[in-house]
Amino acid sequence: MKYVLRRMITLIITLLLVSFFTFMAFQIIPGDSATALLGTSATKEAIEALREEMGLNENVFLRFFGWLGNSLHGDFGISTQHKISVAQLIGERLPVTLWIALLSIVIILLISIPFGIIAAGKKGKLIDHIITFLLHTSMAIPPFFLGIIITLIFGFLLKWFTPGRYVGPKDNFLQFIRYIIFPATAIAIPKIAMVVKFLRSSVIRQMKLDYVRTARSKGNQEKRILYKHVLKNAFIPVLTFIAMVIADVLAGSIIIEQVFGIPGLGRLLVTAISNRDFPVVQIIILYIAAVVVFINFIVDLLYQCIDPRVRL
Amino acid sequence: MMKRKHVSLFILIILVLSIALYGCGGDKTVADDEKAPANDVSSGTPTYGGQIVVGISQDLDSLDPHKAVAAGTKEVLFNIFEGLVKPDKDGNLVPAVAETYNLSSDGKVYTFKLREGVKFHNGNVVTADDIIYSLKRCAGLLDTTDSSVVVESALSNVAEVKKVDETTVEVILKEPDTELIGYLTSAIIPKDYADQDSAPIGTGPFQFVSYSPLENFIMAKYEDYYAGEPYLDQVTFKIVSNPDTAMIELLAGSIDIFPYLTSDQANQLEGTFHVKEGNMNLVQALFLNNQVEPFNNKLVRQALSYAVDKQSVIDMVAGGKGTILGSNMFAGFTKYYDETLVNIYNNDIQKAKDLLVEAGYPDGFTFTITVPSNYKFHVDTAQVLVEQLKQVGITAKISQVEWASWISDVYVARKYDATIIGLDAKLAARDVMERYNSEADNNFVNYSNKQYDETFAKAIAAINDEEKINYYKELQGILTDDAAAVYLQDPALLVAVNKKLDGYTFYPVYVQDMAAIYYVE
Repeated sequence: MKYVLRRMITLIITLLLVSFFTFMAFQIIPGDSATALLGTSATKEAIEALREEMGLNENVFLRFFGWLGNSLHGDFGISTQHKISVAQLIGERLPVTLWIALLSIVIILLISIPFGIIAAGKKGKLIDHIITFLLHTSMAIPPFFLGIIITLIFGFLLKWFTPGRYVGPKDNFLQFIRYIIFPATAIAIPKIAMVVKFLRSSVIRQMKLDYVRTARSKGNQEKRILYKHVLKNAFIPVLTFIAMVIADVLAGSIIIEQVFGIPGLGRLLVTAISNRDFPVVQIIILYIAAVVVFINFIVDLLYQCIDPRVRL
Repeated sequence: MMKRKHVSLFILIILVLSIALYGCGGDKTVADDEKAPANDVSSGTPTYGGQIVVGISQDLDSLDPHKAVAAGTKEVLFNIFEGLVKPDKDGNLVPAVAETYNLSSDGKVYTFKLREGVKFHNGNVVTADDIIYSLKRCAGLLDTTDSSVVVESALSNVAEVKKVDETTVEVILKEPDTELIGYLTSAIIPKDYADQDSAPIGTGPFQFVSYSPLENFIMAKYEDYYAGEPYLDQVTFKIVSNPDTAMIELLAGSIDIFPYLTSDQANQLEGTFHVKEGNMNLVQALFLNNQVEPFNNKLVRQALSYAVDKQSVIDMVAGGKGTILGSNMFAGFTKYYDETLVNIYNNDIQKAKDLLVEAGYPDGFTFTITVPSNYKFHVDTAQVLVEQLKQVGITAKISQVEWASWISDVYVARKYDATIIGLDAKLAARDVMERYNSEADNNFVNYSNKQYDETFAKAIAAINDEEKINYYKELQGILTDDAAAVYLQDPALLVAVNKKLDGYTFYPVYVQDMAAIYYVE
């Protein structure tokens, strides 16, 4: 319980620091929301007038604490670019990103864990070679290209979906899932490869340890050693890695969202940064930071379950 | 053992390759399907009804027509809003919300007679008060000003907007200006309507339905449009920020019209789509900061102009499609365009080298071209120019910056050596030429020439049309002679149009006119 409390405090401090640094970064990079809004009709006078109106001329710290105060009251401000509330803007996109992430995570776990174990168990055999070869190929393909290949095969060749005809979750949930299964797969493939590779080498490393030899000498069968003893130990480092992958997926996939024309968080973040839309950027960055911290927290708890030696 | 390993690897490679090739083959099958002769109608009888999806590459920066600045927004809002006058496809200004207008002989008073029965999309009839409100808002003359409304500098010449009677409005100017009409294409909006940002209301052939940021902008036909309802029932502008994605969506049939094809994409689509070619109506140039060394030296600027082979730039970046320019005026503006200037700086390496020696740079020099990274076209152009300039001993480096940084550092603060960008303009020669005035706010090239300023003042003041045209041609000549920038081209606009559609029309300004589009029978 004490541990949970400590972690909560860390979470709050992390988020505070992240928001402060994001804010400062916006002060340093050239251009602000006033110049971005005015574009080529910008003149020195026009920028000055707009900056004044948007409150950009006030003291930096005053603005930061002003923003912080409002946010704590649940008022995240208004997007400078889209002139609608940040809560609404993000509220419409977050579910999309979350659904895709959830689907990708399911695909990643369902495929990578059995394959990793098979590859390690059959080390040096044909099946291991095939798996390793596929791993290297899928890790080498850039996500963008992977997205296009998936579109080509499933969209044009098999006609399982129509590229670009995205349906929102509120309009038709079934259609929505049918569409996002393809981007979710595109996100999952390179991650699957990484997890399999990691799991395979972790299992192989464990197999060389003394306790495995002891288990063998006691007359245990190879399969029993693998499933009963090795896997549990092999999973510990893999867990951290899977947590990183999950955090990564939850933060949204900018490139895949673009290829499949999905209005998710990633695309919103990129546009918001180039338009210097500070209120939007700040909240998305905070969401990403919170996801990372929170998932690490869960992993720590899981560690304790797998390995009783870990005391928190 | 070793041998078996190799064989299995080999089989695997074959397998993967064949999957990949099968995938490529699939692309062709789709193309063949759509080549079916039934769809291949080049022109036919227009039919009413139907809906289409048009791909656009930028999100809208505002739904309020007086706040929007991006060309990518104006091309969409053209369908929702109209001014007192509006451009037609030949570059003339034709009456829109106004039925007739005339200019007093001293060039100082415009009188507009409103068209009868023009209604806003909310059903209200357009009144003289709405016109006065709209014009004053654009000119910054309202009592309460909103600083995100973009005030037209040309409209600062407006002294008063007066209501003569319920259907007549007078615009009174401080100084004579026969070109002001070109700025009166600004949208007419309902007086004191507060939700223009979120639910825009205008008088155009289409009315606003919905807008989702980064997704789409949907509009439906307006039945009460005074010039008759448009053919299509509904048009969706879909924001597709990536050209490769746009290509996929075109082929999949998710987009019917896409206006910014690269020349490679246009070649690929030939046969499956109508590919229409027009002009972007931009002046693309290597703009030089006329205040920094060595570009403050006219000879150096001229040397650069000789060193660049414009035709090969067009060949390399646009597959040969584009119109070479010699000064700051686009070819589509035929009335003012001086085509003789195109051949002043023909590619001549020796001459360029001689000029550099004369200017005191026999060994060349080094400078940086700052390009906005979101415009691949300009980045590509920069790469070609770097190679061409090497031949005369000039080393150019490319610095790619984000759009917001470009605006603030290059365009506003003018801290740069050289940059590549395409300049657009309103349908008024003044708008095209004004930025080279020494005092102009948007003179980001820091050009300064007394003769130019004087001629410009005369051009504005001229009431006689012929006189005015001559002054504007003279101005173009001065810019070319001074080599204020290395003028490159007016890029080609390549548009993919679904074969079932027709009526796509090019304008001398950057707009997508959806009222002209129809399904053929």
